[in-house]
Amino acid sequence: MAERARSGAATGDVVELPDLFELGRRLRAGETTPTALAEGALRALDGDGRRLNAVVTVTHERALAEAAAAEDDLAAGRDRGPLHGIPYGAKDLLAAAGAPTTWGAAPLRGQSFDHDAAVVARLRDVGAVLAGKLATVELAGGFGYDQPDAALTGPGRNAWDAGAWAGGSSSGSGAAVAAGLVPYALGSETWGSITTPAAMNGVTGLRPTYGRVSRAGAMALSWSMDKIGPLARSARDCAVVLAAIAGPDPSLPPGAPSDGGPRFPPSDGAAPASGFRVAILRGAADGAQPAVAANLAAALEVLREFATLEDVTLPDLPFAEAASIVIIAEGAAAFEDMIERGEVARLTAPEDRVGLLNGLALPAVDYLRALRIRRVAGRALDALLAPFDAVVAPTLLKVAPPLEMGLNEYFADQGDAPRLGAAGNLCGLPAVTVPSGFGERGLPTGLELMGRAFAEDRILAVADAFQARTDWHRRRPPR
Amino acid sequence: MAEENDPSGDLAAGSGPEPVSTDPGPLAAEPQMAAILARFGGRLSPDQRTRVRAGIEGTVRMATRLRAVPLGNGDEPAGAFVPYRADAESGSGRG
Repeated sequence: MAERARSGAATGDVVELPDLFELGRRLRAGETTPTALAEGALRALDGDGRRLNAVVTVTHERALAEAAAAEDDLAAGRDRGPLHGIPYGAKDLLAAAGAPTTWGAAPLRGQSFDHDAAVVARLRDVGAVLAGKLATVELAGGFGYDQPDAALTGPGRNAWDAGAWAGGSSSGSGAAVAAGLVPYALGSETWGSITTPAAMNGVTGLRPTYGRVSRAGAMALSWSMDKIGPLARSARDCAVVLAAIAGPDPSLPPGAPSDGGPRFPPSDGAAPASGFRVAILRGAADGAQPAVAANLAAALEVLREFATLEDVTLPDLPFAEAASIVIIAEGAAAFEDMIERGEVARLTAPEDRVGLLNGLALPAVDYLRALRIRRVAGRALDALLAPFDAVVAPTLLKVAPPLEMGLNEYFADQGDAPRLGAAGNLCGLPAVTVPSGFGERGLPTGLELMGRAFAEDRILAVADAFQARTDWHRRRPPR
Repeated sequence: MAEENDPSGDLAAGSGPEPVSTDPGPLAAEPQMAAILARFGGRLSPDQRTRVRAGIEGTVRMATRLRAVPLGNGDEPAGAFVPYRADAESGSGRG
């Protein structure tokens, strides 16, 4: 229960920031207005958002126009659903008309598009209000950065400690939600770019199944691994956003199951479900910081209250190597022209200026072997996960690093513990990370729950039941 | 398809063909490095060449690990090619 969960090295106060249901209720009760919410988000992004290096562009004009339209619609009885009139931020690799879309890269500081990415358009159509384009590690981190300072906006600062990293590559999305600047944000993940900043900032982040959400209008790093998903205050809020942005991806082959299966159906006041079957990744905390391991143990005790638990072992396959080869090959192809033109010489992190060159010389057979192993791995993982609603492990083995420390150096001593991220991203599986407590330097830790393809409903339901029994997701950094 | 070659679906557990793993050897990165230098060498500083070589050595090591996974001739890459047809793109024409 919550009391036990609070017994760790807790920091921050439990703050009753309104979730999406409550914001919607206040809007419909006339207690606030879309314009008031938008103005608040714009002020916050201009203030704390800049302080945290979480913002590329605050979209004042667009936000106020969308808020006014949302207000008119509500007044006229045209209710567009749970996101109507509520502000959000979008990672700056998502195109949005009327604002720059820099992909976090200095050479692309002036890049803009005259259209919205599919996800931004879907949110626009349900009355959401785009308040800002949020910071990302340059080019979504695909060039092999080794330091927090690898973005045109400077190092992403953690909402809990401005001297710590916000994680990447969806740095601004994680920090902005954690600091309460926007109720939710869109991020993207090729390998860890939603779950990492969500865990490091103590918010809930959902990586949807590959293909669940359209990538149209998003920067491509790896066509077969990029996913777009929400970072928010709770699993319920993530479910609300997923329901709004999910839909067929036109880039997928016809017939691909891009929108199949039931979804976790959030509704205000609905009781969290129980009776789940949850797998624990054996050895997943080996090499973790002591507080991360302790928080995992505490989280498992909470899970045990409403789920049966069973240890599992990942198939013995080179998930990380295959995922790396796929990203390097596809990333090098996606950015070959930019590399050829020498534009990468103006990237912020020196190591990024020669990143992905190795991909331009990668033998095609190596890439194809990785894709062949991906198919084998997908079958093996699905067989492992089929009996379970989710498999759980620490999202990260360490809390966020200090800004001044190299990432390879900081993470070098965490050993070879089995990790869900490589396997899940290689095979396109959904995962949600939820706050699980606090660790070294008072920074948040996370618990990752991964499920079968297109089983977001199951992992979100487990996460929701966990959050009904804990208050980690309601803690906010001191201002 | 792998399922046809190996109805048990157990190739990854080692019941299929023997793996073809080999030690990459100290010179395995050289051809790729030479290809990069031929294309970009004029703009790379000594430090950048060192970084590029390290990156290539990394992918060579990873590819070697991939070759340790036994795969059959019929094990296709994930992400199959789909012949294009305009009416299928809208989801209405392909059965």
